Amino acid sequence: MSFLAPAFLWTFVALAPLAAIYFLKVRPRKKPVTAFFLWQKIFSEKKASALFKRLRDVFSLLLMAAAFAAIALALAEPDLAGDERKDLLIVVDHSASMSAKDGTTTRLEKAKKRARDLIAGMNGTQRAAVASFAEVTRMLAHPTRHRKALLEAVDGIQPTELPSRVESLRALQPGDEWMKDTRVLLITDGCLDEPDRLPGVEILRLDDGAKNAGIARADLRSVPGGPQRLGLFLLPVSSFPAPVKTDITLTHVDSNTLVKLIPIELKPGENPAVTLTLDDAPTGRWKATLGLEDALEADNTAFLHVPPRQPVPVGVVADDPFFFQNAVSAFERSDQLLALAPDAKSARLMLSKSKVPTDVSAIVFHPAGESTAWAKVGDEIGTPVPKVFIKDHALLRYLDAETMSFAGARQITAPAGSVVLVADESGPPLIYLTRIGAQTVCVVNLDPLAAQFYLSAWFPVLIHNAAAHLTHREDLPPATLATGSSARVPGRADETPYGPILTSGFHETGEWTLAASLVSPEESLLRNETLKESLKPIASGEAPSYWLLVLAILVLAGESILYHRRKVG
Amino acid sequence: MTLTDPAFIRRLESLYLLARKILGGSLQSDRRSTKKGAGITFADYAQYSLGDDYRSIDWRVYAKFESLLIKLFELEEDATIYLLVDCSPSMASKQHYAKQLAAALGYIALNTLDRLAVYGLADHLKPLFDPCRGRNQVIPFLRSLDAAPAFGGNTDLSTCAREFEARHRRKGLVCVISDFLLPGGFEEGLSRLQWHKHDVFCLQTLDDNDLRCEWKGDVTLECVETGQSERVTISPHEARLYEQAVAEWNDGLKQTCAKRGLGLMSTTTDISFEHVITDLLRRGGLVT
Repeated sequence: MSFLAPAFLWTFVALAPLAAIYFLKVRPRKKPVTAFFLWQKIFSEKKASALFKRLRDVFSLLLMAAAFAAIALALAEPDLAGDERKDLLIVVDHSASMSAKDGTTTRLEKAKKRARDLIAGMNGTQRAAVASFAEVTRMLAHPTRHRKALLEAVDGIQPTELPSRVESLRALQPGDEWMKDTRVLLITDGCLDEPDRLPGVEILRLDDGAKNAGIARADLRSVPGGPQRLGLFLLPVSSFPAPVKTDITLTHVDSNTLVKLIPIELKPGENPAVTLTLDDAPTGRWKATLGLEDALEADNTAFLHVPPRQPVPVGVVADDPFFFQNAVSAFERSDQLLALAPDAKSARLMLSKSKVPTDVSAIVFHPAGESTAWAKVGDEIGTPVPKVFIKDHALLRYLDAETMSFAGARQITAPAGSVVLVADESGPPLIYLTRIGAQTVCVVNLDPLAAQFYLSAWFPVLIHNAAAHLTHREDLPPATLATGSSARVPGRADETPYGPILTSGFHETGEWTLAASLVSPEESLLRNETLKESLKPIASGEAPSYWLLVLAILVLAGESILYHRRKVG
Repeated sequence: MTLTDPAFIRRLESLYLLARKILGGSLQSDRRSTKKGAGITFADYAQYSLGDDYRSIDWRVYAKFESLLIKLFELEEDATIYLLVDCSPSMASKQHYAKQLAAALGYIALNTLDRLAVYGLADHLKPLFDPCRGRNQVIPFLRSLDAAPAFGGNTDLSTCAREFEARHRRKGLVCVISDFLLPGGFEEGLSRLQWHKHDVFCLQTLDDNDLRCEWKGDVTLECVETGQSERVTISPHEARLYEQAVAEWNDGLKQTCAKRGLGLMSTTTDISFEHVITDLLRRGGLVT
């Protein structure tokens, strides 16, 4: 045991005058009475306790001395924990797994209690700050000695349906030089996405025997083979110690129809994925629910959204339209991205050869003649050697442009402001994007016939990529988004993502529905044995000084009740 | 307010008027008696027996029923009222109140032409007002009562009763005004007062401090009569015991009076003396 303020131990010297005061003769107040003989009778019957009466002052002195000693020790602030008494940054994990219940109490409530104990254990010189941690880390109370503000900050932490993201802890900059006098304490259940990448924080673990099963991954999307065919993918996980049998109910939310009941036996840990093909399945909102009572409810349901099939009407302007039309029809049959437009007016995208259509975005092969989409069409390039400038561009996804044949490519110049994706070594652009007013044109500088491009595997890839890019559909959101993530709304020219989505369920964004679920194996498994509790001593709960003061008050109250010293009322 | 104060005397006069209503009578003495004798107010019939005054035989009844019956009349006599007022130091807080009660009783007695004698009680008996009668004695009576000092030590009712017995053998109404918190007890004294067939009436006057103990803690108790003292610690338990002891003591007084046929009335200083006297008259306390 050590004392934080040993100077106050000198107050023990004051015990001497206290004892002196006690042994001074105190003359009680005189009280004239008329029935003195009655009082004599009463007190003659109490002679048996005369010994106690004689020792009364000594007992009283001992009690008072004990109370005084307790106060003196409290002032000296004994420290039993061996805590270094650095400033504290208390980070409370409030990710989805912290909502798991063990009995009636959630892990978050236990974490908040632990945080309150840490605040109660602070001494007068320590400062503390409070932060919450899930997908982001938020400072709720900045460093202060004001316990009430800290406790209010702790009380204000609410459960979330968000997964934890260790990366966000780096915002606190633990381990930095300026924080060397601050201990960063993370109160968590250990269910973190990257526990091995934790920055320099001390872990205060919450352990319980909560058992849970949940859906850790989910997907539902159109699959080839039919116009209304959907493929389902679910990955269940379980932290039950033994296999448990349950059902997964698959419901079409829009029509409120139970579509499938899938019996399943969940083994401990990660289970094999549940895959299923649904014929004649409508698009829209879906829900897969695990019918099991467990510690965490949020991960029992996966919300899924299959967008309605709205193919982009495509027009073809070419003297040999056969291959273009077949490519479009192929995509109409598979993922319904494209469909042949009945006429040129209704087309939102044009596939063209040599000509640039007006007022609509287009993919133009084999530039020829004069156009605002290119300048100076010259001779053919002998043997084009393609060079990719922007490898990660959506238009070049899955496309090996450097091995493509660009036979028939001509010496052309891209207009100013164009984005050249692939160009010949000698300079002429081979694939580039250019804007003409509101329309975007993708120019592919090759002769499809000469390059045998129609028979190449890259032809449908390029058509698909270019069509998706020009109609802003290259990044379709998944059937379900993980809570805490953001997504770009398809079809919107504005690239600002929607989100972050904080709760699971369906979120309407105007023309598009986004589904979000807690799909996180780390959160659903509720257990991570690898994360170890910090062994550094830390003061927690009411300080010994507090209990010494309580003891002193009790002793003083006891002395007062027992002896009524010098009080005549 | 002294006992000779005109305002106080007016209050006594009002009491007397009330007493007249209750007591009635106007001849030899204004006091009504429960005894039968030669008066003018018819009281009852009785069978004639040898020795009775044949002048009182009701001949009309004899003529009608041939039975000798004599008429009885209420005896109207001048009674003697003895007021024994406790003047010991224990009565200090109640002295004035006791004197007011004594003054009221004496005033009524003198106005109803009874003989009145007043004595102070303590460790011995001390005459405060010699026996006399007549309305003209009211002021001297009140003056002497007013001037009566506290004296003596512990009140000794037995000694005082013995002295009183020696002085007055003529029977009368003895009214003892005291707190009756007597270390030597009250039984012997009360029994002595009854020896000469006096009608004894006890008027117990107490105050709140006698009945309750409101102070707690370390105190030195000091007897107001003897000066004896004792250092004690009074807890709520002891205070409760004291209150219990006083209640038992008063119960003892009540039982003794009931057993001996004595009148008893207990009062505290917060009740007005007029109220006490009115109550006493209504209950027939002054009828001998």
